[in-house]
Amino acid sequence: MGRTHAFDACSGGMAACYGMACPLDDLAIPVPGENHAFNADTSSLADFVPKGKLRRIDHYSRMALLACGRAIKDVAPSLFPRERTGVILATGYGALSSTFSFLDSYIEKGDKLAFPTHFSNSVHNAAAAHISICYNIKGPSLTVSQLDMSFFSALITAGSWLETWKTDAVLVGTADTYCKVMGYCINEFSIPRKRTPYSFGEGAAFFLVSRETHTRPRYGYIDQITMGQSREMEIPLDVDIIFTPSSIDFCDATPGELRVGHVRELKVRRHGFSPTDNSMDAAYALEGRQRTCCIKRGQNGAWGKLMITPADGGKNDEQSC
Amino acid sequence: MDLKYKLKEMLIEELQIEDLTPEEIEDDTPLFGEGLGLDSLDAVELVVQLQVYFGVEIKNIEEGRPALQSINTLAQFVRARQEKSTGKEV
Repeated sequence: MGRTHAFDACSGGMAACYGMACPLDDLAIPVPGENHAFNADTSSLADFVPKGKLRRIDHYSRMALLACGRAIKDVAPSLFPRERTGVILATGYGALSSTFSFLDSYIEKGDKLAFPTHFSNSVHNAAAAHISICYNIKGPSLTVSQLDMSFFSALITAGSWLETWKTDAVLVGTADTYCKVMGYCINEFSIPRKRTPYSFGEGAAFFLVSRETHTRPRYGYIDQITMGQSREMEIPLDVDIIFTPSSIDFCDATPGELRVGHVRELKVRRHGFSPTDNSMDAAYALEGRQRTCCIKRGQNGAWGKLMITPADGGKNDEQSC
Repeated sequence: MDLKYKLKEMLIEELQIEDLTPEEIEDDTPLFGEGLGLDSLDAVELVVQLQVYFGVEIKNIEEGRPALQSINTLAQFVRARQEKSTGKEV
């Protein structure tokens, strides 16, 4: 589990509970028998949700609940009207462990003896539903799964909910798990893994976003969210750029392909390899003092771009792209 | 190992009852409602696990309701079914 952050996005609150490979972090638990792989410790979830309610909830949902609970704790209650707040959970692969457990039980024992509890946890919107139920959030609930582009897609949807006044605030976040099958696939098939010593993990991160108000936000602004399909993209002037680890191939071939004005700093995070690791980019960007462009290249040439202005960095409308 | 103890272990393991040990589950405690507090999804899970662990099938609600009252009734049901199928005492 990665660092525990507590900061707001826009005028709301966010806390991040990461499962990326930061070995020194207090919530990272090494996976027995595997190098460079970490599980997330969710034992502190009992601080937010009574233990009795957690009985049948699987690890994937618990990570999402913990990250969301920390975000809610970080928010001023006036910014978080539960009746007018929605939940959007982005995930690359969903509840992998539960899904494989259910499939294993089905394959090994037949349809009559497939495990009902594992099935219920593998249902697409289960984690988001648990969040709404446990935290008494009355707005719409959605799970978005678009592999590499899940988080961008979720943010775009959150923006549309806010723009159309469907909600006044959105808890938007990501969760992805690590399991043995994933570890096997990474070791056997992942080309970047062989080329660069990545660490792999799991985790969740949540942000509370709301419409821009006259009040200066606590942490920052999400200026723009873009998705496309092209080998070229426009990068604004004078920003820091963060590439996710899964974009490493693109990054290596980048210099001639990006129309870059003046890149202040180019960062490539070399830890973490998850479909939704670009949510970590957003969290890192909000920590900084500079306007940041977070870029992720996905499969088949798809890309996502996220422009973030930290509250300390100020908001400059002239440089929006 | 005693059948009732095995049933309690199965309950704790498969229904993820984290706060109890087998020794703390009384044989006559109601499984549903006020006792252990299990619900309908637990009942479905129990039916599956009884077949996995003990090879015993609950075919319908008429069989299930009396069998799933407590550890005592569950053990009685499993024992009777196993004796019927193998002809031997468990």
